Amino acid sequence: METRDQGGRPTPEEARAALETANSEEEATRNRPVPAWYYPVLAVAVLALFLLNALDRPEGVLRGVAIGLTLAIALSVAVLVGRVSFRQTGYHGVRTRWGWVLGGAAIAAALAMTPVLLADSVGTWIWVPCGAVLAALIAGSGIAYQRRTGRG
Amino acid sequence: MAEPRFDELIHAPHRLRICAMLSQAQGIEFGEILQRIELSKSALSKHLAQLVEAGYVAESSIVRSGYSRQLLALTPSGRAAYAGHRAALQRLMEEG
Repeated sequence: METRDQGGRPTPEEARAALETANSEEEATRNRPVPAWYYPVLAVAVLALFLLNALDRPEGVLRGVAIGLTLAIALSVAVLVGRVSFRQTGYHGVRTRWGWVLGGAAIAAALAMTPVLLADSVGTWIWVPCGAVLAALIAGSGIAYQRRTGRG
Repeated sequence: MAEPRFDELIHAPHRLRICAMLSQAQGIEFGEILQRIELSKSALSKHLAQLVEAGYVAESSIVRSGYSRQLLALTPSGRAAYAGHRAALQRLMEEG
């Protein structure tokens, strides 16, 4: 985009182009690129966690393996989210759209709580669709994010 | 909504981009701006110097990962000027 540097007001078309440039730069500051693998890995890990919970009271060795895997994946998800979300960059105090963050957290919490509350009455299979929906939402958010930022 | 006020200094393409990126953060390091704006160091420094001289941008030094870095931030008057310029562009666009 080029608009005149000095002298005279811009035309409406130049003003529109300047505003689009400004909006694009603002968006690029708010949405920093994340590694392309981040959202797919997160979606798979979350789905794995839900599927492990769908196992109906495993016994013996399988129980130990399920518990160990659940803890390992949960810890990995926490570390992954923490490292990507709170890594140090050259950006300080970037504005956060809390509406989006809290909305996403509320949906994730609802999808996690639904099987916790319903598994005893309807069966542990309820973990499967809830996990699939949450994983799809995470993957879809990742695709949308990568398209919006155009990087990563 | 800010009062529309066209600002020649901010309107220059590179300075508009700098102000826009700074408007969404409390501060951005020189190296990050340089990487995004794809100017030479000296050209970027000149644009920043003009914004600093106008009182729109403040410079400070910070240490991150053991290295001293230059942090740039919009001042309150810089934020007001940028918001006013955006509003002026919006009005110009709507008049068209």
